[in-house]
Amino acid sequence: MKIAITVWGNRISPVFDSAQTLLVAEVRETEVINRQIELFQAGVFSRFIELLAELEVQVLICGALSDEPAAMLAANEIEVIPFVTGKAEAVLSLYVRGMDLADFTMPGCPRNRCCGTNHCPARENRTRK
Amino acid sequence: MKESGATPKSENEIILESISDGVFTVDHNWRIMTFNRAAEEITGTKREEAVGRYCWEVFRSNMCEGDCALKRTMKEGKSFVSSSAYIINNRQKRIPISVSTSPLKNEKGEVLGGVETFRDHSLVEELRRELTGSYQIEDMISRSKAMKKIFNILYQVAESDSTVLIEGETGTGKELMASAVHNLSFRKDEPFFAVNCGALPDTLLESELFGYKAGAFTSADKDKPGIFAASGRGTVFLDEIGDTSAAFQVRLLRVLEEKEFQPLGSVEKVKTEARIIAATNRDLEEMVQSGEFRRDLFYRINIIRFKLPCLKERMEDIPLLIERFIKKMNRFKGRSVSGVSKDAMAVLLSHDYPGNIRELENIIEHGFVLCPEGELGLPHLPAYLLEKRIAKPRHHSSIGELVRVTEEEKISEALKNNKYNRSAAAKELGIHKSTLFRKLKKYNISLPGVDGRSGHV
Repeated sequence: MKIAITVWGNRISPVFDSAQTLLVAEVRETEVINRQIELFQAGVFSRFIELLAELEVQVLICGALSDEPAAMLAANEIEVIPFVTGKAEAVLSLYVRGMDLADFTMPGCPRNRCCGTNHCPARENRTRK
Repeated sequence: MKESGATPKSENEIILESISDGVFTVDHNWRIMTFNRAAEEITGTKREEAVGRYCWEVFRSNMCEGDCALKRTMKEGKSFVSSSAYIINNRQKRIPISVSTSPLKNEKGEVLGGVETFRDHSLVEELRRELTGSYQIEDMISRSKAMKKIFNILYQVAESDSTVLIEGETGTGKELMASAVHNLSFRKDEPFFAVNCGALPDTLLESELFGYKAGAFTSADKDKPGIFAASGRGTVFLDEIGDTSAAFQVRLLRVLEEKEFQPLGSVEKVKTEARIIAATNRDLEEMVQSGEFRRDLFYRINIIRFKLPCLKERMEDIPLLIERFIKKMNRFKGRSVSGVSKDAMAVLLSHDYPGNIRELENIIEHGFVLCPEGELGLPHLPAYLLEKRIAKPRHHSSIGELVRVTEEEKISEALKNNKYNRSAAAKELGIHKSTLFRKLKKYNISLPGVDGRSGHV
């Protein structure tokens, strides 16, 4: 499977809506076997979704995400884990091993509250099955 | 640093907590040091969670990654005032904001970090939209006076339950209007049926509307309820009613007068409670005069009459409608077209739109085929619009020039209409003959030797 993370340097980009760089990780079992960086135009969500489809990405991990692109991603059946912050590699490493991402949730979206999405890490079981 | 409830707040703290602008400070490592009440409200993040975190994790602005105002302030040691941006709050909403930043200094002038103030502009944005003066009811949107008059009485008309007649050229939104009347009425939870009467031959139209009994005609092997039966207490919209036959008009008149109809092949009458909204693109009054439309039916349906202006008469709505269509098509087609370029808008504003709003929508859809994102430009417009532009390479940059050209055209048109009879042309234009002569001279309009009075050279 392929996991994409919108990145800013070595961190997860704080705002998906203005992000421009994508780290795509190919995962086999619990190991990342390949990484690639893709640049994309910020705010052009249709092109971004096409890019995810071309790269056969199934999961997107990103920072703050507004409702418009969230709806477009949901309509294209891409699993999104938004409002995640921290070092991209650390988050990726935890995710591929099926570990809890709770410690990487942005402030304002803690365990007992929710940013309002079905994919909110606070609402979901944060452990990947 | 923990706040103690027993410690009285300083005057500065009280002020910071009272203002409606969000304020936070950061240290040299971009960690938030203070976070006021308004900042909590705007971002949706509690102070306890914000303090100690990186500012971009809490502030979540589109500026964070590329054009951070605070970073510029810290680098250059200068204040920056009112940059426009947006943040994403904890409910996934984009909040438009303006941002000001300054270096944070102590009494000795040493820089401790930075301070950022930000103001929620959601209300300003909302008011800005209001100020554009657009009116919207259901799916109809306009800023024209003619449409505003209609919108003003639409609620009352919808509630009245009377039969409504909608007049307007093809593509002016008659069905949208009928649908709005239905949706605003107490019948909104009942069905809404739209039938194009002009598209169906009489017998088929009658069987569609009134239904039929088994054996009514060769292939009628079982009963079929019609639209009137299916609509219950809903609304039946009869489009192009001016194109119906005299026989059908009689049957419809009976439905309106007696509130009952007779399915084909049935001897029994069926009651109906449906509301009828009729529409036409023809002049029914004229048709009544010429005997093409039943006078009694006309008076039955002409209880409340709306005349929808053609798009040419509401050119001020074109940018608004374009924006609406782009939003709609972006949503349905998953595109991100941002708008229309200035050149393309100029072409769109100079077109006459014989097909009215439907034509405009089709033009935008054409643009979407050729332009997946960014601005719709001239290359994305249908060729017939551009051909017309090449044929008429006029560009009227100022209102004065536009008025001049329009006046010149109107005068020429009036002269032609009146076979170059100056008095008649002046009368048609609503100006005095001497004014007409003055304008003819001003615009250097040459007249043929023919004069409408004499009819000879």
